[in-house]
Amino acid sequence: MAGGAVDQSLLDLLPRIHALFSDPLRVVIDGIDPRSKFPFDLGAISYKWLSRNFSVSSNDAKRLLQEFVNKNGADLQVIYSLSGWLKNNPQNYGVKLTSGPKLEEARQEFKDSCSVQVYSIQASIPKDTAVLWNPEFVQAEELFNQPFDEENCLRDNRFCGVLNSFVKRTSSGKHVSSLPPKPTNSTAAATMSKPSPKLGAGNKSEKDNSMVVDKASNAPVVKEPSIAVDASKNKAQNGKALPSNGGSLANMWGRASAKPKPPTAPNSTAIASVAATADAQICAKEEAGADSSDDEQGIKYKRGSSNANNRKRRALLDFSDDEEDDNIVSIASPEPPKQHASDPVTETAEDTEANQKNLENKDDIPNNVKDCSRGLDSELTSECKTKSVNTTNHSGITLKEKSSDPPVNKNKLNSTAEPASTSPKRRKVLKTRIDERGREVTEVVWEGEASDKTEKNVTATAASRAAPPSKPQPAANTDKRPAPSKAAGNKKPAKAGAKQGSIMSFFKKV
Amino acid sequence: MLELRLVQGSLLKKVLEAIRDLVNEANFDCSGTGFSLQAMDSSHVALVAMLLRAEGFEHYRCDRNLSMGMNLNNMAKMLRCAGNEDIITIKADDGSDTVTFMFESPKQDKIADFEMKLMDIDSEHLGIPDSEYQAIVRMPSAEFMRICKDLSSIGDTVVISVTKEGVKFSTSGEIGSANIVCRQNQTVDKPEEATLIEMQEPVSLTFALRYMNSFTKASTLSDQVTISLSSELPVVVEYKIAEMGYIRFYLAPKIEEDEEMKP
Repeated sequence: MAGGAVDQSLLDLLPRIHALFSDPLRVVIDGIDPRSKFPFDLGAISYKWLSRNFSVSSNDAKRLLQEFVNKNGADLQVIYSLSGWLKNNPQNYGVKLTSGPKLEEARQEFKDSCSVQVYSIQASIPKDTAVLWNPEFVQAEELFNQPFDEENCLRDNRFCGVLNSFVKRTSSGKHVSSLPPKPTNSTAAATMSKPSPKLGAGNKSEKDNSMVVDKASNAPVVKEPSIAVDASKNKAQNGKALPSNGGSLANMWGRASAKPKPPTAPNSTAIASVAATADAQICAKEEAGADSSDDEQGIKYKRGSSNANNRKRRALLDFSDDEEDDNIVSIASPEPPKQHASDPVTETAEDTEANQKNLENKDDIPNNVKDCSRGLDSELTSECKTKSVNTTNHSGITLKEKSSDPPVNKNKLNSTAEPASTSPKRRKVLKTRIDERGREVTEVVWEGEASDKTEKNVTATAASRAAPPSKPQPAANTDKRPAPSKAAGNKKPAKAGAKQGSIMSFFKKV
Repeated sequence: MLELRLVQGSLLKKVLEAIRDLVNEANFDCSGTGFSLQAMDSSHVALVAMLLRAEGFEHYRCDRNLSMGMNLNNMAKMLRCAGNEDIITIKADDGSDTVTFMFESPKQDKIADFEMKLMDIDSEHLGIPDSEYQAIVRMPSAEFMRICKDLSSIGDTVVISVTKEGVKFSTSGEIGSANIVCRQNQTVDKPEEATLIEMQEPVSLTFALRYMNSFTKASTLSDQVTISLSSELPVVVEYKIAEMGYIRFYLAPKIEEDEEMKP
């Protein structure tokens, strides 16, 4: 996995990349899962997307892109990622995305040596940086929407940059847990398999890892990660348990209405809820991933080691009802405070904090690729500002203290965060920032109007942050949607023995 | 301020009985034009749209548009306390979180007030476009109810095919299969027994009988049912409510597995 020549098998992928790149419509090419074709014309092909799509490690994907650039460099625009110590004082570690022509210029900002890797290739440098991660997001969403028992690279986390050898994954599923499983958990047929073969190398490890634990943390941690995984997997499963034909509905909508929408548009509740849970999941995973790449995560896990079942309960409460979002809200919010003993509360509070932290950090997200570099200190200060309960030390490790908020408040925070992710009135936005360790963190966050009064804590932050200009507020906020035109013209008689369609694929919300 | 006086109170009772199986909670919308409801079942497969036009009420006062979220089972419980001959008045104050049903006996010697708590229901209102249907079948509602009931004892789904010959309802299950063909028939003495088929082109669609059976609960409202079919559109099963409105059930057809993979 160290640098070196690219394998021949990898090189075989080059023509495919070429096909992907040169075909603006992104027609499905053989060998690629049709679901993973992304609907964006001329988006960027990033190493991340590549890695997931072809199931190669991200390092290989980077090298592959480099190879591709070497061969076809003239026809395309390259965005490089540079990482290294910055020249400024105090010394910071920075990661910077920069376009090809500005590479040298950007290099000057770094001390002596910095790593230069291809981040993505595209036909033109996008005006809106969101284009860079849109395909990845769609891809991640689709991977999460895959059937629960289907293995994919996101789910088994095989390309995770950091590996904890204590994490045990079994292919048949149940995680070893020291705690009695909750009823719904027992139904969750987890299918974790294949320990990640790659050990952490680059600063930019894949962020989709959900259970990576810092190596410094010691043995008791072992159970924790698996439980964390359990929780997120539980979400995954419940997400699937929602109207199962969510994906197909989008297609039906497209058929029934004159203007089909891209799959990301929340044009029906069924879709929205599927997407919502998928997203909640992505959120959870990415948050976990973001956190776990920091040293603080180990500490956090350790502290929460006695109350892991709370995580389970959370998952259970939020997603146990697979009928409607409203139900989820109504079930989650009246959660009696005493259900949480003092310990579980801290855990949820910490989760919420993490959540909030991510939201807070959104203002760190550069709107421009060129300004992507981010220093340790500013990050830390912003954290200090936003989370007074955190103690920080200057080695870049953030220690999370137990919050001193009253439990009720925490519950509220906690429950508000969840409906936020399931409410169809939100939209998800991809945010990439560079964390204090110099790693790139891509988060999927919900952005939109606070539809519930209790959600203000989270959404106020979300809404106040500047979204990329190309992402307008969803029309759903006003509940105005164009009425579909008639589709009576199409004639495709349906046959027996088929799947039940949804009424929402025919009539649009108004 | 809202005050709707419905002399034929039994209509409201029947409406409630017809939809409460399908939908548990729904918003009743009151506007200048009438008293209406639109709701989907919990699995978002079927949709019910009900309208009672303002003209059909003896007294209709709706100062401003009002949406009242009600638990239909609770509402049905209250309406069951009204006699079939009773006059029902629905009353609500602006900003109030309750609605009052007043039942007056025909002889005006008994007046009952039932106050019900309203609820906040976050419902999605769907825009239903006016569509031309490829085939419209009008038939006695009792006949349709019987067919659905009979077929559901054999299979889970019904294929409704409309051709020049007539409308065919077919199903198959473990024990066997069944076909029921109804031919056009206008020669009956009573118009409510007629079966009328207007067909632009043949159409054949598959539906879940469970929902169809639930729709036929509205048969008490009308002697005739109108079934409108188009491929690629949900079927509409419509019952007229006296002269003052309708109740329409939309049901998404079952679709081929491979079809839904198409963009």
